[in-house]
Amino acid sequence: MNCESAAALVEKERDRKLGLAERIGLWIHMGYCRLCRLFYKQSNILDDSAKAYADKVSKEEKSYKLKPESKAKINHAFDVELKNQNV
Amino acid sequence: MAEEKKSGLEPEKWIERYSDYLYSFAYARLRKEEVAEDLVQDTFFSALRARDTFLHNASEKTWLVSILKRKIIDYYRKKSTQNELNIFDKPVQGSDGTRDHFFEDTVHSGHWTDASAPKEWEKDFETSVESDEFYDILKQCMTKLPEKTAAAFTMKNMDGLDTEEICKELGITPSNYWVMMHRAKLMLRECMEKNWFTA
Repeated sequence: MNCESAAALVEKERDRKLGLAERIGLWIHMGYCRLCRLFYKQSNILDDSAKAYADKVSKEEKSYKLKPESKAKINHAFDVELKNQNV
Repeated sequence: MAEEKKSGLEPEKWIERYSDYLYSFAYARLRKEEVAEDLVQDTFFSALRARDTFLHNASEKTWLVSILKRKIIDYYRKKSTQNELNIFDKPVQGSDGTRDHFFEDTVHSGHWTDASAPKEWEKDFETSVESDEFYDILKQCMTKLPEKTAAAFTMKNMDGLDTEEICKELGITPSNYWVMMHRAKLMLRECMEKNWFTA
């Protein structure tokens, strides 16, 4: 197994239990490859970062406001549609 | 108008009541003002056309959000068929436009290239997440991801969907999904290492 496939398995492992051959291959590779061990550690940090970012955005969600002019535009278009439908 | 009262819907009050909420929901996920605005307008129009399908005891807001969610997914899907159809056949493009720059040619070794090999990071996660700058850089690095990948990230981290649901919505297989996430991780790792963790 080379670094490219090891890194790909690290990603897959987050989602699925790896097959026996995959697990053994990855374990052996990690045993001697310092860079892939480092990648594994950093990959976890990046996942946690992405989650932290999503949480932050979700919290901010309520603070985004439609621009008044855009709201007016939508309001107008919708009013026209509403009148058409009620005729 | 009397008809509307009966169904429990009050379309003439929708914009006032829900447009800001729907907009913020869309904007948080798409990060594009104009697209978010368009989708909000589309949502109101679609809802009006589909008002017969509204269930009496449901909440108006929840119903409108469900229509908007559908529109967001359709947007991702349309986007991804437009310009990323072949993402799975092609190696990740380096910033200089060359083939996959993360690893040596597979035929030879598949080893990390000198330029892309992970380096020890100087900053740790705990202090990073306390910093606003960290999130700014992360956001910038994420905007470099292909649209479909960014969509999968959002569905996973913000909407809490699992792999099966994401694959179904984006019309891809789990293998496609892992390849996509794998490449996203490589791009993100490199970008964050350069601009934050060792900066």
